[in-house]
Amino acid sequence: MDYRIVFVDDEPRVLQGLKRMLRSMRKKWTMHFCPGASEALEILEREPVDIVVSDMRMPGMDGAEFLTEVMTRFPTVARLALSGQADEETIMRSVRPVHQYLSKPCDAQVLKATIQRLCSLHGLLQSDHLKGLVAQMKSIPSLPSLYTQIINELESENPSIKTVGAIIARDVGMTAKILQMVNSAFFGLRRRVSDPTHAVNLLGVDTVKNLVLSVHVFSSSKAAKLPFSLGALWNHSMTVGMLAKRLARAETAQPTVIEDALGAGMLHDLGKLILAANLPEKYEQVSTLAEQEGIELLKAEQEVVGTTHAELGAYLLGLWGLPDSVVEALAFHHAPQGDSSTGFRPLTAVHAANALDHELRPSSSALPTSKIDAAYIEQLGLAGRLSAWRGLCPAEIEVAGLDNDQDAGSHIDEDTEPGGHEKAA
Amino acid sequence: MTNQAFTAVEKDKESAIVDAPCDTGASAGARAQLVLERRDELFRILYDTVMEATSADYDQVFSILCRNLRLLCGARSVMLASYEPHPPMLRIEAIDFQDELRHNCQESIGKIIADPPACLIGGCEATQIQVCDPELSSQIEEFFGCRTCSAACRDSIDRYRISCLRDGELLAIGMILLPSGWTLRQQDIINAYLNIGVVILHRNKAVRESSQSEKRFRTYVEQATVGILILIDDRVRYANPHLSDLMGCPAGDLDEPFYDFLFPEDRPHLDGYLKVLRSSHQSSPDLQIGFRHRTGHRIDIEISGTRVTYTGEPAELLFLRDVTERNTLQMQLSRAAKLEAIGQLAGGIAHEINTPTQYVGDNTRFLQETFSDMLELISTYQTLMERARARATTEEDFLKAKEAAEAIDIAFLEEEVPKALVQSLEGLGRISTIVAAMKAFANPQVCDTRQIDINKLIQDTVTVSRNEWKYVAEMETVLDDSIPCIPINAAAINQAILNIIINAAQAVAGTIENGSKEKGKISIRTRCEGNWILIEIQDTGGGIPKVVQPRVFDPFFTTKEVGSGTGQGLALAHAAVVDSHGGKLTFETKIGKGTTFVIRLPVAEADGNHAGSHGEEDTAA
Repeated sequence: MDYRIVFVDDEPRVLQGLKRMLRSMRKKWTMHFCPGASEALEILEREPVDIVVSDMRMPGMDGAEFLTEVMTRFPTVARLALSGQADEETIMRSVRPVHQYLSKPCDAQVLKATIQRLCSLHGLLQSDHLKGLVAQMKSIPSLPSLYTQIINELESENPSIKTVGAIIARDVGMTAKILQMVNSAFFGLRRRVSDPTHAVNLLGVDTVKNLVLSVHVFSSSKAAKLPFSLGALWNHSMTVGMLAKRLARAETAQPTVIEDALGAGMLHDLGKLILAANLPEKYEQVSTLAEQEGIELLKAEQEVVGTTHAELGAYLLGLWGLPDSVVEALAFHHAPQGDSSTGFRPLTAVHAANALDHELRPSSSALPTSKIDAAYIEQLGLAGRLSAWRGLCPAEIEVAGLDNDQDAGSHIDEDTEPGGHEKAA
Repeated sequence: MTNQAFTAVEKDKESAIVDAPCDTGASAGARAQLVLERRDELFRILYDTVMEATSADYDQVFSILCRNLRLLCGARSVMLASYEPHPPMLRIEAIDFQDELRHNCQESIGKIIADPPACLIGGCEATQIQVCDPELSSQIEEFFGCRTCSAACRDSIDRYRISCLRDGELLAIGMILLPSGWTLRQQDIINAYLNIGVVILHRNKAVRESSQSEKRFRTYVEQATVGILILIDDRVRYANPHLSDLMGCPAGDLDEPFYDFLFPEDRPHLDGYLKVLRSSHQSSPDLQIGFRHRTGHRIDIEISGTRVTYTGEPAELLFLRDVTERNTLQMQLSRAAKLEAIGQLAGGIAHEINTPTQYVGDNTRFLQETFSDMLELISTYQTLMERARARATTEEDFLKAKEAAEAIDIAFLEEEVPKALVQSLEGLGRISTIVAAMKAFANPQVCDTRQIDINKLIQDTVTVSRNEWKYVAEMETVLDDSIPCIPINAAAINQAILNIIINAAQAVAGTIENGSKEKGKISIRTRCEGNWILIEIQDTGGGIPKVVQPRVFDPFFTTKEVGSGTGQGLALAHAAVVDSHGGKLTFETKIGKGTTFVIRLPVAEADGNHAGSHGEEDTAA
């Protein structure tokens, strides 16, 4: 497939350099090189474009303005910043309209790989409408009680990084957003991180404060008017996250795999939130259909929306530049055989943790839930480990000990994070 | 009323100097003798009064006057109260009695009545004694609190009222109680006595006030939080306690070895200062020198002095202020302002370096790929050559070679490779320029002054500040090669020019935000004009509004939003140019057209003294 990419930079030498450097991709990509935002917008109006890569500081319309306009007028386009500007103000202005941020000087391989990864996402979603919806998401709704907690903590005189990290790690929306920030070159970190607590530590409390209180990267689900109670989803997400981490720890010593398992487990149902926040009626239809027909939610989603929450979530995290293995785990957590790679991976952990949680804590509705894909486990040669994995579960779920209510957040507080309020002691 | 006759009533018991009745039966000689004795007695009383009262404190004067007045009149009782007009109040000062009439009236002494009723103080037109009508006298008696007399006693007493005035102002009132039937025949003597009393009172009051004010001023001097020093012939005649505190030594130790507290290298400065002070009638500017605190550390002292006469001798009065902390703060402030400018530049410089690094890297990557493509092509050609040598070439071989050449697009490479090389070299050149300029900009010795090429300095400053102006303005530099190198503190002048450039860029940015999207222009010109080097920095910004113009160089004055600048930039530029280099910094501005700042630096004379010790203060940061 031929991807169309527009590069914008006010420095002609940078454009020419990019053009030469990317010449080897000329057969795969159609590239335009524009000296300013207005030229780029002309191209966007004229022909379909998949990705824009823009400088931030430019005379006339600057990068933040340009990408904001792209976001509203051409929502399906993936927005990448490539900037040598490192001041906090520029960065804070670009946080909202930019999917991923690369800093100059950017290694040719990194730039190519980043674009390549964005291109490969295209296969995940067929509908331009859905692509647009996902690409326009600036924040993911948070559990109201956790949202209040994080605002209170950050507005307090002396916010504790430990408390902030603990709150963020308990919320699906906050976790996703904070991982976007830390995996991007926004703050010059450019680290491969998928543990939200670790991410908060890397960013520092001041940056998090700025992001949350000034740039509003988080939002409360109260404002989003979700059609369902988040408690159950949060409960399940937390449990799967912890369980996936535990499974990964049992199978491998690789810290990235363990970390990715945790992050991906926590975020595996992110797509449900995207769906509920953007298309609440369709979300209702999905539930109704699933109940009427007695089919898996996944199938109902496919029927009503044309895609699944797995793909929606993966698409967003891919756009946001989260590690590939996390994106992959989201995309295939219900159908792990769709992934061609082998060996124990975060995907394996999330798939198993999800199925085990459903198996051990059946939900009140009698809907069929996803089961462990025995063939997949067999194929990995891990069939013998299944009983050991089951053994890991009960303790973990007991620790989570959540009720299915809106106030789940406060329960987590007391039950699982005694360290969270260390500051008050 | 005042001239009312006092009828003579004979009374035999009491004896008084003034009015005691004479024995009519006595001989003329004896009577004359008596009169003489009485006169002696009168003078004795007057003499005693004057002697006693003049040497007494003000507080005691009233009781002396009171006692002697009673003796003079042979009165049973005399009461005196002082009067203060601002605010109006009466204070009972003294009451004197004959022994048998001693009441508990003494308790009344010190009693104060604020806003006394008109009846008590009214009708007093001169220093005199008057007959008092019963109604008024009972009010006065009530005021003095002497109502304990029995009714019989009351009837046997005549009451007279006293008023004492000086220059028409009431000083005191009083009352005299005489036994009934006595007369005041020699009223004029009493009036004269009262007048003497007024003079004494007035004098003692003045003495008291002056001693009080001296005490007060002494307190001021001793509690002053500046060091105060009086020198006569370089010897300490007075030093206040604060000065001892400043030097960290006990009071008194300052006397002789005052100069020991100076650092030896500073002594000539103080000598010079005192010399000027003694010889000139004008006050000389303050002197700043270092003193050695007793613990050995240096304290910066600012001295301002004046010539005075002390105990009749010409002396120098010096005020010494500890400005160590102020100097430190000033230094920190100017350092902070400089750091602010550098911090502002740091992000821009990073960007300036990152951009060429980006395209140099991209071009290099391109050249790398191209070279491997070329190698492939060359190997295809080599194969072709070998086959040609073996005379085994086929049409297919040529086709293959042609395809290979087309695949890597030789025409494109022929055009792009040289460009990539040129641009990469340019990019590297730009990085080196920025790094060199940054080094030149940031590195100059802290307070060193040496021969500096102003043009080079301007170019460096323009380079490091490029990111500040390039988005809003074109930069034009017209630098006169013939201007001489001059000894200046490069860091300070760099800073000044940088601050003006940043200011210009912000002025231009302001007009761009106001609608016109066209870039503005900043022009920098240098030239020589007589003994001055001129640096003109012109912008096409919005100009400086008239109300703001007088404050442009004020420290902390800023028209920018809170948080975007401390308002120190132009103030520092002014300090650097004017205070440190004896130059001038002026501006011309036109609303809507722009502003031109002009720096004038003197082409230094041989000694190059323009950037003297003052310069260090500005640039020590």
